[in-house]
Amino acid sequence: MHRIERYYDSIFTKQSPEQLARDIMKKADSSAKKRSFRPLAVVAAAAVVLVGGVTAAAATGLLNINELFGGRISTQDEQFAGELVGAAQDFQWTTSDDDYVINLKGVTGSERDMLLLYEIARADGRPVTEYMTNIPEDGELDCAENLGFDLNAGAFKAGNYRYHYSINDDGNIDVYNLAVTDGDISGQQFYAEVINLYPKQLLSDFEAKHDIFDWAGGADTPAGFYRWGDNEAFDAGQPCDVALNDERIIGLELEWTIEFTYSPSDTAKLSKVITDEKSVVSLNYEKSYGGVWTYPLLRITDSYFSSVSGRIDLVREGYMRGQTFDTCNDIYLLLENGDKISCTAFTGVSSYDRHEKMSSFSVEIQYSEELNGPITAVDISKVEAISINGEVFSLI
Amino acid sequence: MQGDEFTQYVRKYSDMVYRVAYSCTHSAPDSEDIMQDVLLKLYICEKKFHDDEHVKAWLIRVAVNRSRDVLRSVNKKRTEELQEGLSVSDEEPSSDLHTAMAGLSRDHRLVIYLFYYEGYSVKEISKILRITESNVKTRLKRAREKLRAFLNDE
Repeated sequence: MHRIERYYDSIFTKQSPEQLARDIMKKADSSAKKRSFRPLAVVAAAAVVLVGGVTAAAATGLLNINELFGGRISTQDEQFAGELVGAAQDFQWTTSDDDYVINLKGVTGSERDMLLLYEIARADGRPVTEYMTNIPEDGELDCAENLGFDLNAGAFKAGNYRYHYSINDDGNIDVYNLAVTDGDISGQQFYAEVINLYPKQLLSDFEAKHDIFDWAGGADTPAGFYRWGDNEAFDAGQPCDVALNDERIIGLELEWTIEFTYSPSDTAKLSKVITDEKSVVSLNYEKSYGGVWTYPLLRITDSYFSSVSGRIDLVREGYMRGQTFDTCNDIYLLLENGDKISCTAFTGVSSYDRHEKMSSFSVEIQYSEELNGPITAVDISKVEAISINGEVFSLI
Repeated sequence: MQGDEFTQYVRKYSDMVYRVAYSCTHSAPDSEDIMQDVLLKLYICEKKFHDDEHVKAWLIRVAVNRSRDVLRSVNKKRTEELQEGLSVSDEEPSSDLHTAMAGLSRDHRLVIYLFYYEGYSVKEISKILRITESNVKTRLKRAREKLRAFLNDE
């Protein structure tokens, strides 16, 4: 990789740092002077924006149900979603920047209709609806500005879900997340994730790449997209399921974007209303690893190892259309002497049975020299177990 | 930010910002513009940084965001193909590698740069780019494969 270093060594700005700094400071000072002469224009512009309503964007940090519940409930394999009801109350979670607190007030309802109520508040007690600002340059937003909520509808077979918001007496936001399942939830996964702050530009970036034509992709069907651009896997303009092939989608945790309008007044916090909701169907079910699973995640049905590679056949409960198994997976073999052989997995596209009850994967693996260092050969007679994303499957 | 402090940061990080922008846009003129925009934002921003590493990570983040904005612009989309083949400096970088890098997506170029040149770990890249560690690994893996395949074909 010395060549890469040399390559980047040859890429540099031709401007001298000192001159560059001087030019920038001059430009900034000049702009500041101009700004100082037009306070009225700024106020007027602000007034127009405020009368018209400020469209909120999104927020930072990741909050998932596991974090919310912490150790209060078991998420063992046989856990049914219905057992969550009444299991957690008044659990508090603080965002990574310590500015905001999510209070999970409780879970109620039934196996069919579960209602999570949580409140988003400032850690210092000020109401979150106090003000709104634009997205800063680094994409780090105050939680109060915008809220993005991610409910992985794909975890519910033919499920349904709704959100409702209200501003409570303290000026904070109460979020009601109603998940309605269709039929018996047993054997299905329950998973909900709140993206507490994500830069809207991620969404914009996503939308710029894909013209979404199927918002209502269904609870367990990845949305389809018309794609344009540089993806060699598809012809431009042809419908495709980006979840199958586009690794860039993996990083997007977008499910819901809630937009607010804001009208300032002495009772500003009361006048803030939700004006729009739109959904982006989650494409990445692998993320559900972070959620609460109510049935065995997966089981190994067959495996084969040679001294340098192998294959693992897996079955996972739940219908996962077209999900690949070559990313977001940490797979290694456990040998009887305690050694771990890290593997690189690939070509693990799922299939599923006619009743859409389970998905099966056949995952090719290679023992990764990159992760293990040079490997001459693995004595396969000593492979005792396989670990996948922290879950160990004994082969003995 | 005070002038002396800002000049120090420019001295230290201007090339890095330029390289991040170049990794995203693969265009020298755009990278110059992005670098200036990003440094201007640093100068006028009132954010309190913990240390140099914080500044560095912030600059990378802002450079990536700004690059995306540029790439989204209509004009950029129209001219992107023309820019792809341009060389960066007077000293033509190893031409086969340059061509190979041009063949990568911007996301792949970016992780290659951050990992191999800036020396960030997968975890650190994950935090800076706000993607999962698995995603970083996947991008690295695929970028390496593409580079390897291309260079072997040469």
